[in-house]
Amino acid sequence: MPGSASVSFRDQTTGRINDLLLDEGLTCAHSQTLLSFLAGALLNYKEEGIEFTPSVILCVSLNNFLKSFPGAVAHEIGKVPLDPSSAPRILKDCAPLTNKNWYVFIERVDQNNARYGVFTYFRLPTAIPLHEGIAIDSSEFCVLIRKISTNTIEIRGAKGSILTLIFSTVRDPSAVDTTIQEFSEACCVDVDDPKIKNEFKNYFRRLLQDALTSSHGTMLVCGRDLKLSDIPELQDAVPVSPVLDFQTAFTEYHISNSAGSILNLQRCEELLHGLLRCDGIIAFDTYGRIVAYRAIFRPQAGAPPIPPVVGGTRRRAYEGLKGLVGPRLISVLFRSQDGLTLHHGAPK
Amino acid sequence: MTPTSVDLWVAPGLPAVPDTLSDPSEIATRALQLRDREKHQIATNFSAGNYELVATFVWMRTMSLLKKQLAALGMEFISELLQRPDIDEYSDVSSAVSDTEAISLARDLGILTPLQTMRLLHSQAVVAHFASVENDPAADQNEVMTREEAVSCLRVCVQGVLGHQRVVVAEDFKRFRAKLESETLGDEAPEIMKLDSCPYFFVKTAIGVLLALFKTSKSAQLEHSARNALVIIPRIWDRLKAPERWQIGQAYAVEFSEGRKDSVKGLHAVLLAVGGFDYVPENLRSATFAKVASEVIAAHQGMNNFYNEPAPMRELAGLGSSIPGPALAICMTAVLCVKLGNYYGIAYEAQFAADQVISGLSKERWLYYFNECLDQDRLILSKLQEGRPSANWISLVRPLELDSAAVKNRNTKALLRATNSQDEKKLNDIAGLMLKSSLQ
Repeated sequence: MPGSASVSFRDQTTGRINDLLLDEGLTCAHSQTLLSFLAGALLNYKEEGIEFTPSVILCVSLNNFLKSFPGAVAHEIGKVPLDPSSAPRILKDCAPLTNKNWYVFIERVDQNNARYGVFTYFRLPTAIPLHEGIAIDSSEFCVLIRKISTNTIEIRGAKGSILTLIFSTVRDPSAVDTTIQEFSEACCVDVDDPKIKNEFKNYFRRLLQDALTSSHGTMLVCGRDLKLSDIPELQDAVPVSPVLDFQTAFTEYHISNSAGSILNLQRCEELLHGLLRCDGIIAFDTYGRIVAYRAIFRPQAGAPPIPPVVGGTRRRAYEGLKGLVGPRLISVLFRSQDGLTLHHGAPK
Repeated sequence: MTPTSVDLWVAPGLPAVPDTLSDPSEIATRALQLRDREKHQIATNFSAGNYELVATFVWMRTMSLLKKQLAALGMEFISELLQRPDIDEYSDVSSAVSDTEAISLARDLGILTPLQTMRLLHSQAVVAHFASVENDPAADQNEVMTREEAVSCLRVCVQGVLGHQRVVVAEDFKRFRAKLESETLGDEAPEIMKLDSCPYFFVKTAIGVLLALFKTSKSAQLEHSARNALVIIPRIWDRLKAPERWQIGQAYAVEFSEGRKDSVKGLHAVLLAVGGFDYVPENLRSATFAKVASEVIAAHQGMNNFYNEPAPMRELAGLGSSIPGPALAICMTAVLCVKLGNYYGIAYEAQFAADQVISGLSKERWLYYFNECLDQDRLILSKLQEGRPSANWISLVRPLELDSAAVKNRNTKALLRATNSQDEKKLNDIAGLMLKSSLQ
């Protein structure tokens, strides 16, 4: 007999959030349902057709939480009952105010009440990002919820618990942090200035993580002395001339620490975000520089056949590019629209 | 218990040259760090009466060697001790560190005794004066360095620096530092216990060492350093004056901005234990103020100071009147150097800019300086023993009508009273007493 059925992620999500809250030291049904609601709402939150991806903090003492962040400033916007019905109001009031440097806070005043607003902190290009900063003081309860890709919401707590909610039925497991780190290391492999080497590597890794989190999928390649005109598969790339030189901008910032040098570095970051919005492959050299973008992979006649894979054009291109790693490239990174991140590098 | 018996590290025992020795050739032969050729040149120039020449040479060699030895401890470490964020491991020690900073640091590290420190500071003023005398026909041609001044300079340079083997210097101190990063010290460890009763400059130095270790060490070393900091800093927190508390807060802000998560966690635990988050600056503006202020001080103490002071002083005034907390101590020292001048006068061209900075200082900030900084400000205290600078001090501070009742430290209170009553002699005596205690 025909019938109707529906599958909801709610029960599974709520249960896992409850586990995370317990691990983080908070037993509160209202907080649990509020986070559960936010997890769904943040996946595709739009105002006037514009998508917002705010990072939201749930804490029990905003003052104590912000102590870890030098130069922190918070603006309270309102007070609400602590339950899921308040989430739409919080997002409506706060989401349009957020961006790379402003975040939403929800402070659990007691078991029934919360106050909310936005906050920021003194954030130089190399400063600890929010998702890492919440773990500085593991004794202070705090949970961060944010969208990390089109279909993925991440919830992480101060004690180190992480819950990744993947709203997708098709996905390969991948360790996003490791893959990006491997690719960013390849991009910095020839950076040998002892004054900035380690700092630049950390900065570059965080930059790529941040940029990829806000991208809608992309593909990055890295090669030593890269001349794309010599690689038939990538010949139609648009050269970035002069190259987008993060290393030089970073060195200047590191040495002079002036407002001008910070702006210069931020300009480079903005352009990277712009390049990621374009179709095609972005090419890096091994000095932390972008040398070309909008490269389209064109398989050459006589090349080994690409193994069958589940996915679209980008995924097939990734499989094809893997064949270039070694002779032409040293590293390839694939990021799908739903957050799947894969890396293929030449053996060290 | 005498102060010496609780020192964590001590200056080398016997002086290489007794105070009674005044034969320059004999003194020169004991300068172990000089080459024979140099010793011979010193003796020859003394015989020829070239006192300015020989004193300047000896001084420059001494400072160069002293700074080189300090640099062996690591420039990051020097940066932390001097609270000079502009110095990093790639800085050139000879140009980045001024002579006075080197002398003061050498005292803090136990390389010099208190007496040697005072004598070196005196010799520095004499050498700097004669090195910058212009060839002006109108000037007094009889104003020359005396043989006694030159011998005194040579003797203290050999006693403090040139007469010692390089490797012996600051060995005790190095051991202390190595221990902090290689093992976790318990509450009852002798090194920790000694901190309770040792002179303040040891405490300051210990803070500098710990913060430098936070910046430079990694993995296991960082863990030891963090645990030791968590034992040491809460124990001495109540003794710490505001500049040192700011120094810890500033280190937290810098490490945070540099993205060094492990050091930040360690420093966070320390600040949490002492409730010290009020000392974490909101931004890193103070680094710029501190850098320019140290340029003012370096210009003031270098050759041709009257010519070189105005530019950095104008730059300091141009940074704005709101001096960030972590940089207030060094900015006060800088502006007071300019306002008090030295034995020979003041740099007139720098006065307007200095007055601009002074006019932006509230009474509360002056009291902060009196309560938290002056008793450790060796540079200003040594000036307050001299005629002209102390007269300038009275002209500057007396009109502020600061209430001595608001000053906590007994000696500082007495110094302010002497200032308000225009008792210059008493002011000189109290400053001398305070300088001596800052060195012991």
